[in-house]
Amino acid sequence: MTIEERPVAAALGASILASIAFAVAFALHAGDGWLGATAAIACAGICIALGYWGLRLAPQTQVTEPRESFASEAGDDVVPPVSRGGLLWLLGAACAALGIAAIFPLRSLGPRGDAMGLRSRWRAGMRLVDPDGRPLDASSLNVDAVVTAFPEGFIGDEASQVVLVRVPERLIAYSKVCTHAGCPVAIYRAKERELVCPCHQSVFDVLDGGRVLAGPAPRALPQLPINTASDGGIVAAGDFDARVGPDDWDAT
Amino acid sequence: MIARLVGWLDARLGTAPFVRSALRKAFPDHWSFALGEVNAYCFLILVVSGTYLALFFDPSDAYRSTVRLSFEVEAGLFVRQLHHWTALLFVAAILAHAARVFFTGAFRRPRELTWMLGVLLCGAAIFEGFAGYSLPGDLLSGIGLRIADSVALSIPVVGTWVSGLALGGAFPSAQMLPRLFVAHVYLLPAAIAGLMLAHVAIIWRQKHTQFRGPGRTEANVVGAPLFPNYALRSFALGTGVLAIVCALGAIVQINPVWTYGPYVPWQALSPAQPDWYLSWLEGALRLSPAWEPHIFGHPIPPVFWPGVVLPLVGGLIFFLWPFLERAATGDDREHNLLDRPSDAPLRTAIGVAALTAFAVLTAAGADDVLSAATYVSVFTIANIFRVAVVVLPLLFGAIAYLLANRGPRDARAERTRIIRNAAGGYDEEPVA
Ligand code: FES
Repeated sequence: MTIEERPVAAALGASILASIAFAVAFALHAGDGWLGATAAIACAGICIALGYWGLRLAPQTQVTEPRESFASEAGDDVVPPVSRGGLLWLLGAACAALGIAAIFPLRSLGPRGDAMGLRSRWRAGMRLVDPDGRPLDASSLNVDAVVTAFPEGFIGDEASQVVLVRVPERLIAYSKVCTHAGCPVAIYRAKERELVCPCHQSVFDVLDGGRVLAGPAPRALPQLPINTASDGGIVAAGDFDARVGPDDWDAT
Repeated sequence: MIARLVGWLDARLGTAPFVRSALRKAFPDHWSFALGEVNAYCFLILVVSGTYLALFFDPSDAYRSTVRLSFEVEAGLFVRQLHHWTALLFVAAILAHAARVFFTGAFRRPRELTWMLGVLLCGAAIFEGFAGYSLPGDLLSGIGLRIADSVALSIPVVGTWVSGLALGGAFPSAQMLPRLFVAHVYLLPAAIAGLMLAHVAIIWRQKHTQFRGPGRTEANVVGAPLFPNYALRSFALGTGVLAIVCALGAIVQINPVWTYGPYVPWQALSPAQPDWYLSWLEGALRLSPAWEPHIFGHPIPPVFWPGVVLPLVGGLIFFLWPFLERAATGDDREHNLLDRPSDAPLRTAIGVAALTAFAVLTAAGADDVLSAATYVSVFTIANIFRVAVVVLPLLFGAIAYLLANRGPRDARAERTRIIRNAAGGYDEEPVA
């Protein structure tokens, strides 16, 4: 080994050692940090060796290649003439028809029937329960308390989720699905009595029918009419006053 | 040994002439030419590490199997983090490579096709990355998918169909992650591999572009031979990339889904950011106005403009750039010698403006983080960005134009060489 080869040999040697260390680290359950560190050193050793070899040891030759020009006389004779041109049209039509026919099975990818769109489950008289299924109790909510509620029996149903806010004198329930792009409207700012969507920071006025105060949401949050039942529970007095969630072409 | 193998193959396939010329192929020396190679190495690393992960991942039990493969599979967390870091680097290297090609005019005739394949690659890589980080079924990525579905739903006329065919039902459907998995491990990687192959095959056939310099003309290409010089350097680059992502995967935590929890529709995270290459769309969604016009009684939701129109129109301009520029300049000649950015001030200005807009939107995608860090209200920050996204691209574009127009003097002047002649005097001769 000549003197100038030594850095390359040293780097490759270090790489071999690191690879052995990788195997040992795995066998000893040393953890992902050790695996990654040894693998990084093993690769870096080869990288340094090859880099030094390519930039310092190998003679720095230059080659010059001529460029061919590709443009040849692309005349009419490149594609041999096809007789029976009429059949060619028919062949094209058959292939196109086959292609269109093959699109139909794609329909199976879609939903059956008309299961599309967000459909709220709320009906008058349904109880509001928390995400664990416990019925909500009006008297247990202090001013500025915020809870997520579902209709009893439909826990986790995206379209029916409600954010219930206690303001002085009143309980107010809004759809928790942002009318911008459907994120849960999960932030409540008690001082301003505003609901804020964490996704693109649309702001809704709790005291004014969920009106949009700022941000890209185009519509107010749909409000759920609610009543307090005789046992202190909270029940819906009907469905939301507007369509839930972001609009699409079919929302009219 | 190698000689015998080559001989064995040559006797059967007649490959020797090709191998002989291939090993002497010229690769121009410039660091910026390595950016495209970084992409190829990233893709290889992604395929290998992704295959390993796919053996442990179950899309019908996405969140739990992700946590399990992170904590119970030996080396699982390391490979998962390495995979994610490589994906981030992959898109970054694609953009850097595209910028190099753009600012040097390497997309001009005869390389329009290479450019268009590259733009498709960029799009496929972004979709692939989004599909990948949405797979674990965690709260952060679930919200990202929710937004993506709203964007799909916003498309006029066909939106509900697009969303329904993609998800097989209303969001979040049971088929969502299994389908995303098929796209992520099969459809998109196959598309990327095919596009990459075509991209490289055309480069091989047309030979590389090169910067101006002594002995370099439109009719030749000067550089290091593939073997051994260039091969050594290129493999050094590949192992270097691997070393970096190994170190990142081992040391720097990324996407710790167990701190987010599984996706449930009524929970959210704040602040929340997508992977960096989607932050510009997130920023556009945040800055866009709450404008919802109606056409024949049908609403056009506000996410349609930033979520669909912006990337589509931007991507189309990007895709067709070689032809747009030719239409503007009327220059239909072949170009194998590269421009410097100062050789085409207007192109440089447009590129700088586009990059600035991209950067501003990307930063706007993190306005909640900026707000938390600066105690300035997020709404004020959003308003500042609304102004910046218009003003800064114009400003930086104009500055780039002025700088490019002045240019370094040697780029404009005829370059000459001074030679001492036999009589002891000096001759000046032009350099190509
Ligand atoms: S989803 Fe609520 S602001 Fe965008």
